[in-house]
Amino acid sequence: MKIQVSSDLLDGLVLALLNKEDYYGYALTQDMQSAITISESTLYPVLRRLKKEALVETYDQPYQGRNRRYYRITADGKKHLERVKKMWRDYQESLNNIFEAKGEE
Amino acid sequence: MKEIQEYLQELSANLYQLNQADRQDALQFYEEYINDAGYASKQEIESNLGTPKQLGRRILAEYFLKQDEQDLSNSLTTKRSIKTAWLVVLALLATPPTLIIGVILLGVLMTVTFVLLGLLFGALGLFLAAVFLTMVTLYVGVVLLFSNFVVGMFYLSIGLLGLGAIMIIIPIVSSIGRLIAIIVTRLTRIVFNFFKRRKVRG
Repeated sequence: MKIQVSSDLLDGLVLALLNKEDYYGYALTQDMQSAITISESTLYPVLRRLKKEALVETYDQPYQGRNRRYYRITADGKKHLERVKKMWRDYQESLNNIFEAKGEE
Repeated sequence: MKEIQEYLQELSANLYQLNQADRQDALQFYEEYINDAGYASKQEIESNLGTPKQLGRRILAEYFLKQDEQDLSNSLTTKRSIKTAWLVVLALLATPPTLIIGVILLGVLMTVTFVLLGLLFGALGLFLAAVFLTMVTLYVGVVLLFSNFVVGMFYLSIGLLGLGAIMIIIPIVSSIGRLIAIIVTRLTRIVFNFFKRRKVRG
């Protein structure tokens, strides 16, 4: 059974991966897919939005005679990542409270 | 190689609504992606990314609907909201699983839109009739001025009264028209966001 991921969380996951290292499109999708199920056409809109909001920036590097576009997290992106992580922790906690709650008699 | 180029060309055609820079950006991303993934045949590409049409719609939908509230009300024109509504239709139809629910929600949205449009046109019809009547009255007034001055003045004054009322009403009617366009677009966004949240997998 798969649980749906909201677009806020999706942003956060991308930022978390980019926080560790810079990625190019395909590699990022692969690593994302090892954690959650997303369709291959999902990531481009996410990256484009993150770039538009200046949470992420791009640079090109030549590779095997063609270009590879890399994505890198910005300072604002790191701040946003922290916000999402906190949001996630709070969310986790409140859900866990319900899941773990013992019945009161 | 040839099939990759064909796919990309078709994708480009499906992104004609975008400006050159945005379209190039998207194409570059996917050309790179396809090469890195090692997809060699059209079938491989399509089973992973979808058809150029489907992929194109997904990309476009993000552009036109994920906007600031500010952006939306500032740049709103009737043409844009029609475009927006169409893209929602296309985006919804692009994913078979949501097709049935999408059609129902779409039906509701269309009904609301048509009712509002009907009201708008009814009001417009009345308004045009009023304008016509005013014009006729003014004309009659002017003509009569030469034969029967008092009666002519009488008609003329009524006509001018009508003209004044029209000038007051015009801005009101156009504001209402714009309000309706905003309402329809807001509803469209709500519908689309509802699906986006359900659709984003993983």
